[in-house]
Amino acid sequence: MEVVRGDFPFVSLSIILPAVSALLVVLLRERYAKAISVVGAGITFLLSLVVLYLFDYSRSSSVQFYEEYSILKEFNVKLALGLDGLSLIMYFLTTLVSLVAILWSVRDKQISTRLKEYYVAFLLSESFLVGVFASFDLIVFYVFYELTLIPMLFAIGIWGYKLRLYSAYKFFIYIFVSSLFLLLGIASVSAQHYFQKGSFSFSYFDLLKLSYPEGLGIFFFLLFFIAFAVKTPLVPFHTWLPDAHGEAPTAGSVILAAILLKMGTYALLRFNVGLFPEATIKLMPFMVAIGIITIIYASWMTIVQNNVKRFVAYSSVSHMGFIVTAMFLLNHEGLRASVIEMFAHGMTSASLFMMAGFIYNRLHTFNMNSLRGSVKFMPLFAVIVAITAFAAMGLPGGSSFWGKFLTILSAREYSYTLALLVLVGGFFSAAYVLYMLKTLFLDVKEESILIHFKDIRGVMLVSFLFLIVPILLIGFFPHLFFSMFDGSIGYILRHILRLE
Amino acid sequence: MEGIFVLLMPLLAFLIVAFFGRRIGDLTSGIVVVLGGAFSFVFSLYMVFKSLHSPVQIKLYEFLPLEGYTLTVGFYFDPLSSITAAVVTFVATLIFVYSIGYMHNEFGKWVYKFYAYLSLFLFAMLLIVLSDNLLGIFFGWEGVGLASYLLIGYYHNQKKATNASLEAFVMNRIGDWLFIFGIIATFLIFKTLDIVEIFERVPTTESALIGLATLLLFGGAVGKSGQLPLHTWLPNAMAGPTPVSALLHAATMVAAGVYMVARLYPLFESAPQTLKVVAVIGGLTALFAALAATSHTDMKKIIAFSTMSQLGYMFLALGVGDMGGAMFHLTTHAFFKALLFLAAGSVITAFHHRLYDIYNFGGLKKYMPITYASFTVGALALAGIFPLSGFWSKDRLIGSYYEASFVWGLLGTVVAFLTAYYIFREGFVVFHGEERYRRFSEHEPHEMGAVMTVPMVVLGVMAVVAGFFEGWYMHAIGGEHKEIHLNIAVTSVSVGLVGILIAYLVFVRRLLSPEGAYSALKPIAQTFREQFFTEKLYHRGLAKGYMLLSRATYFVGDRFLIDGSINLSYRGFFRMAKDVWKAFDIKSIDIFIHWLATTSFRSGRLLGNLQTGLLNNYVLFLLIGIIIILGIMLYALDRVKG
Repeated sequence: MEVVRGDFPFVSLSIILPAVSALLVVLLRERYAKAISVVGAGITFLLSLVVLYLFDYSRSSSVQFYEEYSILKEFNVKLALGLDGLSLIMYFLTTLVSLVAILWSVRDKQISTRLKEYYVAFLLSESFLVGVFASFDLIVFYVFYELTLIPMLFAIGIWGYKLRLYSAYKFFIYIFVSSLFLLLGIASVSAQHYFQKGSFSFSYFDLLKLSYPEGLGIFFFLLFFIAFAVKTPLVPFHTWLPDAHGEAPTAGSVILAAILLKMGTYALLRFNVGLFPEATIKLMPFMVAIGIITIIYASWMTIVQNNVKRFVAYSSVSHMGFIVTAMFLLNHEGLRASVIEMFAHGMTSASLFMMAGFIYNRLHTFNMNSLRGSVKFMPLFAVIVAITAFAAMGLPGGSSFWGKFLTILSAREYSYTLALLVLVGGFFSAAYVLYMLKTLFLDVKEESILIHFKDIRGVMLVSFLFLIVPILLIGFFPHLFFSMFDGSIGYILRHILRLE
Repeated sequence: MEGIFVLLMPLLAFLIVAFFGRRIGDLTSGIVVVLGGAFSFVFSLYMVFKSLHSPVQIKLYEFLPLEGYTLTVGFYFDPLSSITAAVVTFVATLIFVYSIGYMHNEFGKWVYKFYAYLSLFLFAMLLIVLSDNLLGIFFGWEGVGLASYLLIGYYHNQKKATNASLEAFVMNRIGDWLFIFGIIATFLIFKTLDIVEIFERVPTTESALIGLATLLLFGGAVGKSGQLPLHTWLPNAMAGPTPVSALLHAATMVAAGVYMVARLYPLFESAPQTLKVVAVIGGLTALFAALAATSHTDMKKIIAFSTMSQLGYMFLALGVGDMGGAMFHLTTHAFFKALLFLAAGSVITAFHHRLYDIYNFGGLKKYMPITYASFTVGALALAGIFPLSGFWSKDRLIGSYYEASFVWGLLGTVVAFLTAYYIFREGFVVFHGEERYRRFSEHEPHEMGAVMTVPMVVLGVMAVVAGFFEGWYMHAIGGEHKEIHLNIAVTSVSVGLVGILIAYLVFVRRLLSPEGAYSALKPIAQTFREQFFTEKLYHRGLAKGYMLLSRATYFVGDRFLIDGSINLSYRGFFRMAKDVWKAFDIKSIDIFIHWLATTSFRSGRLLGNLQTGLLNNYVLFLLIGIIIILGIMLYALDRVKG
């Protein structure tokens, strides 16, 4: 993998900026907390736009803006930060969604206590997440990966709803236990480097050059896979997600669904596929099967949920199934589909969770049936939700269409049956989306409590627009987004998997 | 590039109304939408003129590069597409005008949304008609589905309407996913989605997959055109406002399926098996829907079933190889079907949208003469009576059926008879006979304003004269002109007349009491009315079953198996921890610590004796300590060096 050093430390700056803002929030008085965190996240977002502008798209397979600082000489641990095409789009997703989450919180009525701590948690989680997507050293990656857990744990445990403690513990235990496997995996890969090359290394570039005996490769693959499968989550490791989402505050759900879950799929592509190509090819049918089971099972479960947040959470699981299926089809269109779907799902799920939060702010319930007939009183809100929901369903012109279209296209390269299974999943998603829209907005003739409702406006509307615009952009100008990561995918296919 | 305006006008109207509709008011919104449609019609006429010389292809911009092919946005104007576009925009514009009158009494309740949807609908339909590649067609395909969802569910506080819109979208989704599957199969065969390039490559491509690809594409058409077995949404879609029904059934939406097959006809021709399937499904649907129409009593549903039946006709024609005839029938059908719906809407408006059952009307002809005349013209055209437009297109089709096989021809004739019967049954019950509506309303119905009658008159004229353009149309789109077979023409017209006569004798002269006949034939009528119980099967069986099954799986799978085992292990872990705690911590370690504590306490007392309080003793202890530490350090240094 080629490395291009940057003249200016953009990446570490994007990690430090939110952290510094968090520090300022701690030091200054509580009434400045909102302003500081919005400005901090806003500047980080602008910084990411600058990075997007400066990025050299003609060589998106190489790691650009690369920085390296030695931490532990003895074990060759380096703080190696940089962005290749794949990291770039996830980095952009992180800064965008973090800004949206913080903007949303400004007007979220649920957040009334411990304002300082709340914003600190979200700013820190932004900085850790940028670290996750930008680090090219496995130890640094692992540290950031684990650190993201902490702000989220507190977000759920402190500002959540009724069952918040149960959910927070479930979340923590699930993820923490599973990532111990990751640690074991990282340690053993590094040990393998020691045996083969005579020195320890955790650098991604060094480990790319290793090759493993078949059994060992599969074993390492599975060690990494367990951690990421829980994080993604794939069926049957998914039950923490509906609980965590059901109880998390809105902004927490937004970060969780839009970015935290993507850590799992991003890491699957970066590490599982990248480090163990032979094992990946061997285990491909197994992975695709898990992906398809996830798609169908989760979309099946979605339609019976009454709690709107759990509903969206299950639909998220189903989308993650799409991402994993597409990824492990291991061809050009499949990989492209999986990456664009990561970004697209980030947008749609964030927007749908904000919808749930908006409903809760008005009604103090997540019960879907209680809102029936509300389109009359909140037309703009309904339009926004409809655009998001149709985009999530895979209607052309929305963001998820390209993911689904390319997934079917690449599935068809193997067999019609496979493509048909993916199709069935897509069909179920249409069923639940339409059911949700109908239950939330339509029906009911008599005037109800809803009559006092005001439509969405102000800051909340702006934060929705931050998501709607990219959704439509992907739908109608997909080339803009695909050009970010096409190079990286070509590199993975040609140089790592050697499939072309 | 002028062709782009055909699409741009409705899009522009949609955007204006969607964003500023509330500010500019409902009436202005309606006018904007009408203008959008009208300009689009003018431009499409211009494109017809241009494309008759040579087809025009416009490339707009690149979507996404795939391996070996780049997805683009582009449009293709040949006689087939531009004439269809002209018909679509013409009919749609008239319907838009009419809808200003139809929705008039709802002004002030955000009717601008309705106009925005209408315009979106037209735009999506034009996308289907004019796109030069399959993906573009799919964009329009889904756009039409979305717009119809919004329009059918326009009365969103009525459960009937929202259920119907949900059903329409879900059923369409089944078709759509088959369609996109077909697009992908086509792409893998030809390595391109551009229809011109596909046509160039069809003769040189020998692939068994073409059969599968065309079958899947046809699956999309089945969903969109409401053919068997994805048909139940079509009659239920009548829950929307009547202009929507007219638009849905005349020029857009359901016509899209037929048009798509005709557009890709060279591809379908290379797969004869698929054409057989097309013919069988079309023929069965034509008969099925005609039978269902004979026993329904809802004013709009009868016309809806009639559409389904006529679409079946067109598919049958496509199946037996008469593409030109199918498209011509689509065109004439657009005129007279829109006319019938507008007439029905006029009656419904006269009764303030409260009555729908045909037996609640009666004797309207003297109060609403224009509506009566329009309905009669439309019905005569639908029944295929000489010399109205329906005669020319229908006769051509029945001729083609007989050329293909006697069975198809017979089926066509039977359906022609049923068609004449059911449409005149509706006409006679509504416009003749005693005035049954007196039970419900005091006021006498009256003709609506010019906004509603003028479109009907224009469409009525078109429904009469459109048939004479058969030769020109066939010449333009490159289909062969067929002479009318006299014996077939006479047969089908007389069969139609017999149908009308029976309807007249039963429902006007009452030679046979319709109520008595109904009760005598109740089981059969019920079967027809329930569409051979397919609707019940779908709603009660499939939809409810799906919900039940997923609920059961949720509780067994997620709740019981996965969460159950996790909770169990969590609880087990704690129980074990408690046991271990009791066994180890309390009984072993604590005892040890306790022992340690007591011993150290005792030894502390012992050592306490050392604390003498004398300074020189302390200095001594300090010295000893320093020596010991230094010794250890020296030793350690020594070891390190060595």
